[in-house]
Amino acid sequence: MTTTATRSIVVRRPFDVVAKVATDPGVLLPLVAGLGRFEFIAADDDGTEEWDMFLDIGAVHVGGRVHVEPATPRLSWHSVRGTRHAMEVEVTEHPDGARVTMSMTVRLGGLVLGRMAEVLARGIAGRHLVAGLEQVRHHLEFGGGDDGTSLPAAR
Amino acid sequence: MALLRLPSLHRVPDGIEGRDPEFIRRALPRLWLAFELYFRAEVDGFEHVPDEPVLFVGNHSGGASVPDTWLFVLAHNTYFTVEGRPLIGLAHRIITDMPLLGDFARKFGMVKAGPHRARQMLAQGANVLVYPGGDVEALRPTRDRNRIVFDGRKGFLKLAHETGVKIVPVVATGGQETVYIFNDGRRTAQVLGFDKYLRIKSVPITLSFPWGFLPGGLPHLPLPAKIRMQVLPPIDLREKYGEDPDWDEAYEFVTSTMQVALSSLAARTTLPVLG
Repeated sequence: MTTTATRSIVVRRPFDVVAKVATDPGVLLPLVAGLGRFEFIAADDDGTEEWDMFLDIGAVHVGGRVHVEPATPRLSWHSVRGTRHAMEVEVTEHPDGARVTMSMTVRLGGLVLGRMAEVLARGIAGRHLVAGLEQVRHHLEFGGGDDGTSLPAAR
Repeated sequence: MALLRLPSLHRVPDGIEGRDPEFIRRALPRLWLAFELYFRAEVDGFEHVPDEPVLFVGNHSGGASVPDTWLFVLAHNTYFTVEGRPLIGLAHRIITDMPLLGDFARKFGMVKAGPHRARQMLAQGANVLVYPGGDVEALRPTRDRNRIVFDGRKGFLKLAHETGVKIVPVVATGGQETVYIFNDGRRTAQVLGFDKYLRIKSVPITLSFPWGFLPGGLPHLPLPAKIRMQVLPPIDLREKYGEDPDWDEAYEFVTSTMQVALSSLAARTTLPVLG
């Protein structure tokens, strides 16, 4: 069983600027995972990368090792270890600048409890996506920095 | 503009002189215990507050009961102590003019909202707490519970810049989960003339205990939602924007900074209400 959370946000900056930042795993992953822990593992010759990424959900850390495939204006990853999930980030043109859309699909085991966990996971993933998108928007529109919302170090 | 004047039934002065430290000291333990048990309250970030008068700017939540406002007042009085720099909250006149509750609020340092009052309080060395979104934000729809809704109000920016104090943003989640609000009630308030005669800018349909369905908000028994609150680093408008700020730009920056922090705080929620 899988469940998907999708959120999007409009960033008032040129499309190419937004696409460059939002699809760079070195910038985006720390933002999305900024509420938990993340670590760059390795880069492959084909341009793909591996990261360890966990969302901090109370006492539970959800995530694992992910295989990241950047292809501007898209970025996608899927898990190779830990919680089974996949993520898609897409940047599209918008009259005010660019729209960034994130979709996270989580696959959980079990029947009744599994379905209940999926409902919870969809809400949790949705709130994390919103938080990540807001970070990206603020970083692009205001540059982060001295206000306590600056980007964490990437690699 | 004609305004309905409510009869003055309060005995406590409306100002910093109305704040009663001894009363706060007596009430703090039981109120803090109640908030800890009922709302599982968490407040972080007071270490960011400089030792000078500041303007706390918060997102307003919880309909007419605004539990996170009370939580912030309690937290400030415990962190900085009752004898420390006083916290003065600017409140809607419907709160400060209310019998009993108005006196209680004044003793805790609430005064009737107004720019001249804020200037007075800052000049007297107090920290001032404002909620620019006012009733519009406190009565925003539940679906927008994790959104900053200041309704374009920029008076707080001009106040901070003019008085030379730093803005300390405060964001909180959970308050808007203590009542269910179905819609944005700004249009209804205009049609009914509430905005003109009572300065009530929003009359949405709400669901609360014990009122049930109600147009607008009356003080209610809040649901026991978990409340998280985060005090952010100060923003110095003069340093950032100079003597002649672009107010729209400053507004966008402050609200954006608060939105980022609010969304991050909201991401810590596992299940709404439960926390």
